[in-house]
Amino acid sequence: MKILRSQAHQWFRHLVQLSVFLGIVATACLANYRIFLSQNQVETIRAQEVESSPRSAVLAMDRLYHGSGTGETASDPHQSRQETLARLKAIRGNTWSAELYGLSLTDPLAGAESIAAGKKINRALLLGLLIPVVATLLLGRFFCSWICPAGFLFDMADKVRALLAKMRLPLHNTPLWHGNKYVLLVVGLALAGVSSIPLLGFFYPPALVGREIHTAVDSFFGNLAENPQRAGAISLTAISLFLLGIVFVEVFLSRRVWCRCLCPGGALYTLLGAARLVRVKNDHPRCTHCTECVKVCPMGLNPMSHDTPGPECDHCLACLPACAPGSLSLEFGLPRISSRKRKESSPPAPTSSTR
Amino acid sequence: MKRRAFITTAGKSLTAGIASLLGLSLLAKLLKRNPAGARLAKSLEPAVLRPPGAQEEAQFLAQCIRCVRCRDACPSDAIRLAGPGDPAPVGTPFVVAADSACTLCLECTQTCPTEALQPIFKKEDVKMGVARVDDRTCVSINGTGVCGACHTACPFKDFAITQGLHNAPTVHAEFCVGCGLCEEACIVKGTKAIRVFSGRELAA
Repeated sequence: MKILRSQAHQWFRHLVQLSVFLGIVATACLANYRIFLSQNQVETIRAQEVESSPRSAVLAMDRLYHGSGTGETASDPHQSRQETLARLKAIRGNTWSAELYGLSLTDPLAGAESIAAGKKINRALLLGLLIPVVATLLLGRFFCSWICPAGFLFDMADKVRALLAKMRLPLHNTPLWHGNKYVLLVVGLALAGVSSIPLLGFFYPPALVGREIHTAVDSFFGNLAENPQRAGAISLTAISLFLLGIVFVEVFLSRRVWCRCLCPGGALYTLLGAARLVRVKNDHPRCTHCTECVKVCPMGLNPMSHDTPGPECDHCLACLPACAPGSLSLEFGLPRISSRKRKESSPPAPTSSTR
Repeated sequence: MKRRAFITTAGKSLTAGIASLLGLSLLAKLLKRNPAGARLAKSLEPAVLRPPGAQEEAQFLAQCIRCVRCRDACPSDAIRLAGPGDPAPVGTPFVVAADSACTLCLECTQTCPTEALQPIFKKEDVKMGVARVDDRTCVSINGTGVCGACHTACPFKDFAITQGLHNAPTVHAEFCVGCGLCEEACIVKGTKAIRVFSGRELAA
């Protein structure tokens, strides 16, 4: 697997993260366009004298779905609009809970909270949880590094941190206990059960990022059809301040502290993916103990010390290109039982399952 | 050694968490038994219109995960997500019928991932609230004009709203689903003459 040794897959990962992020923005924009469409306001907006960015955004979406303006669709605009309305149903929501072409996808934390607070399990919820939970059982905590929109934000903040470190700014890296996130998960779920309100959703960055994007996009389009002067302003709420606070702490005080030590969703994904089928594996005879992988690991794990960095590994794969002797690789298959104990007694034998 | 430290810390934090939980739940129970506390809890409940299919308020607040799917599904801008300052708890969907009423497309009930909005397939099964007419401000009733806008807008006209002399509307609660289209159509400026009240408001 030569590609795992190059930086290419890191760029691919950031591309995936970016497209999820932009997908949430696009979903919110399309929801607004759908409202204008169903209320027959698109023509009103087209006729507006005032040139504004929300107006051009609506017109751009209209061009996307109806060709160039009134061209070939003019014969039966009503029917074509109805078809567009039906097509726009395809994508809804954000990573907290989404609907893609009729497929419901719900964050396991959202499901756990809803069950804990509502004390009811229903079919819609189980159907929505099915795919994310099975994917996590097989692939581990991949959501955090490949999909999570907040993880993307914090990844970029980490890049800024690396840049500042290069400029020799004094950056702290205060250590925090990794187990905090499990305590937060258990206490949060128990509190949700007692108070009957899904509390963790108010502190869970990916849910907040999705909601904040929707708030911002909704305020951007505002009352465009009736009140074009007032549209175009993006309003943000206290949620942004909370997220910016995390970014600030992560850049200056403690590297990736939220994902490492505090994220209840990350804790749940870790627990679900404890017996995952894909792992980063260290081939000990080739390892030179250069600690490059430890330095680069955003989760603060040590891929070098044991056979695998443990269940908290979120498969960002940043350690693979960092490993100069090439002793780190991906391992597929069922985890071997008590590999750690065996390692203590005797040096691990190279396995044939390595790829 | 590390593992032992881990287990003891985890044990300590767990015990602390469980103890605080027990304390909190006891406090909540005491508060609910106290009539003043019960009244306080009641006054904190928002009196807003929820989207169709919404469960009873406490259960709705418990099951709603504050995603945005119902809002994304709504084609008529009826569903809004509460922000700070809105009458509903932050992040929950609510309807302001006077601005844009529910057109009963029922998309939101079918997209809700947690069945906080229970799936509904027939318009007649919706029960968001009941419309009420204010006799003093309705122009058809107080004699300042002949209107009938609410009757025209009603999706169950001649069942939920019937007309009398000068198109004076009468609401029949057993057929009214509380969509609020009448409230949106009402020509009275400011506080509308016909308004939809949620079940909680009616009970109070």
